[in-house]
Amino acid sequence: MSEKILLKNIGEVYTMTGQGVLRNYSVLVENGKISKITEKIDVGNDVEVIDCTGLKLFPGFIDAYTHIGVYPLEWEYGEHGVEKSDVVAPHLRVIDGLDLYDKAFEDAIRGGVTTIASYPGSYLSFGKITEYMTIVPGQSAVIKANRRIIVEAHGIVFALGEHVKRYLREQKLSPTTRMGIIASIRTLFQNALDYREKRKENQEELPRDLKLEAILDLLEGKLTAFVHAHTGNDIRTLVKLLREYNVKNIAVLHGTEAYLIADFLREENIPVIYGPIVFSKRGVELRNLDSRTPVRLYESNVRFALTTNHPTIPIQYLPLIAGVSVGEGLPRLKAYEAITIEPARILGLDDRIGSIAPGKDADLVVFDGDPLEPDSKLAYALIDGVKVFER
Amino acid sequence: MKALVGGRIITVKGPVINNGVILIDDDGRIKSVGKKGEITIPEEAEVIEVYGKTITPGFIDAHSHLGLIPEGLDWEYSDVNDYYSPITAHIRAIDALDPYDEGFKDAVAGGVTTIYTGPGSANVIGGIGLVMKTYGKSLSEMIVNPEAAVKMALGPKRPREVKSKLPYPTSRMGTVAMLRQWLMRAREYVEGKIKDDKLDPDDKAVLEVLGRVLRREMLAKIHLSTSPDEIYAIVRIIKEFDLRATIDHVFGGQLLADLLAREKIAVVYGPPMIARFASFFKYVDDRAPVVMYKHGVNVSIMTDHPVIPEKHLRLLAAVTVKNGLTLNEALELITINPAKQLGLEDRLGSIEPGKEADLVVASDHPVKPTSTIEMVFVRGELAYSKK
Repeated sequence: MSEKILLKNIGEVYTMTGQGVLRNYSVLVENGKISKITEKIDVGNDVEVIDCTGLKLFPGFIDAYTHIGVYPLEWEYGEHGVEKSDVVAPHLRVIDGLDLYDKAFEDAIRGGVTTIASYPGSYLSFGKITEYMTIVPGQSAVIKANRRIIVEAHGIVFALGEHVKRYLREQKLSPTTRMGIIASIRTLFQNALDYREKRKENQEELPRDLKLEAILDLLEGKLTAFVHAHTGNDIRTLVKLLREYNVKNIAVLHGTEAYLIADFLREENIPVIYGPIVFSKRGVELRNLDSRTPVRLYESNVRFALTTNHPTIPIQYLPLIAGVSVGEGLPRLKAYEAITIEPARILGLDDRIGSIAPGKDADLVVFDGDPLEPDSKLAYALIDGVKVFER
Repeated sequence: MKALVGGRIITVKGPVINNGVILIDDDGRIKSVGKKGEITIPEEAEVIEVYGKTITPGFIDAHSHLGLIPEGLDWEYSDVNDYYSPITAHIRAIDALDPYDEGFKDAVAGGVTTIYTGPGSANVIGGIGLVMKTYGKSLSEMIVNPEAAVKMALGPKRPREVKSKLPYPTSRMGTVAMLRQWLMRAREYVEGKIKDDKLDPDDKAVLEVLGRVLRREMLAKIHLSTSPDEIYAIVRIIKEFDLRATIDHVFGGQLLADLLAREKIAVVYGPPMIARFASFFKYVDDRAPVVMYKHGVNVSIMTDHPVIPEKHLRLLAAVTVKNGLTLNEALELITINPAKQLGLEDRLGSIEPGKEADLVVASDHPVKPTSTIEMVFVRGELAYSKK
């Protein structure tokens, strides 16, 4: 395995840094990072050279909202996405129950997806029997497709809507209304603030409360708040509550009706991890699910990334899903952005991933055609500067 | 008379025609197809210019529940499975179908012009499904065949909370045994060995329907859940009773492609794009339809709407391209192949004179998800226009 790789004479480089397409460029990778992007480059024998004539180079794709590793084959032995004994559990970490040997990581690489965020909670299911969701199911993590964990505790999920209500009702748990769910989240924040005051006064004797400390991490900006909601009303309600406590980093998960509150989201500068765009309009809450929504968000200047919500749609089809939004009218460049730099920004990791620039992680995918088209094929994939796929 | 002029015509059965012309007569049938210049466009024809566009036959989905599981409503509005009994061959989808479901509009916009829609798989024999167009001024205009196929379903059944007439089998063998028993009874009934007056009226209705299946007047659509052993069982049943049948879903079909090709059994695969999120999906592999196609099996692709929305049928064809078919091969999986499976090959599935003018006009090859569908014709009528 070579420490240095030169991708030579690349037909087209899509840097996703706003400089357009670079033609016949070469990219040098050293120690897991991108070191040089130039037209001509001479290298010594210690460098593995990959000829990329006529091929297209993209930053590795990013899916910012999945349940990878949470629902592998063994699901019947336990629902690892939610903890039934505690429906408000901001201290739980998905990484503690995540199967890094889920075959979907290999599928991801085949699809050119190199970074994946995984969340507690459950995928959307055609059969509601497998859909689980609590009010605060826990914290997400960010993982490279080479199974390297890059952020163990990334954000806290707050969920509102019929899925949560239905699950609580089925499990004979409470609260049973949106009012009650919101009140329970408010109580959590209030307790965290009280805990912070008490800890200032009496640090020695106060027992540690991991739950409230997780909320304090959120308030200090160390974690992101993920608003898990479908309807416009639910999204707005949760965002308003989080703003009440000055939570800065907020992103919406699913956001099925985000287009209905586009002005609000734009003014609050809240991005949406939108998807899956291919799913049934199952139930009243999803009645406005539509593959045209990314175009609407784009036209109303709402920031968004596209997601498969794996395993709702298998992770390897992220580029095909982006292709669907192009068919619906999204400019092609915007579709590329929605699976590279935008999810990187939303995850706050754009200094490392999502674009091709010196110093960035060498997560690179080379295709023989447009990756959004079904008849293009992945030729090479690199993660952290190591070749993980070769056709 | 209408004339689509210019455009690349992917006829499916014949060669691709660049800069072609399609003439559509007033009965909504294709009158002629050919290169521009070689076909005389009558003066009275309404000319629709489609230069630079790609024209294909309307897409056909041989396995859907559109109109039976409603869009945007909760599950209590669903009408696909009746737990009255595990044997409900006599109940009919057409009696529950809602032709005003917005899924039909979406389907047309996605280029899907003909579907089989029918009962679900909770019962061993679920009921009668229909074939219909997704567009028309009335239900009767939309219907192609109100009693097209009888749904049968292998795989263990879940005991239900409601009191059913017969107990549900809970194992794979129990399900197959129940199916065989009823087909045998139907055979005896057809042969006049069972006296009418001894029969319970429900059972008589069931046997009448199964009799039509045994006489090959109706298609048997046999659902297999996920396991290749069920493929073997289905093949045995099909041969034993000489059924006109398709095997539906066929997850794991890549393992038995040889057998299916040898026995000349058509399959409706899918839907593709399902993750292996449960142990019973362990044989799921999106290469399956590609492997079966390459073995010469007649394969079509299903949405199983609402599992994947009807309008995204072409995206599922794209999945087979991702896994090794060409764009035009993938197009067969959603046009001519399902037309053959549904016994409609003489009417639908390709662009040739005499066939119904169900046509899709797209900005590029419609199996590419990045292409935009711009016009859809059903029986020669403009059923959708992007403008």
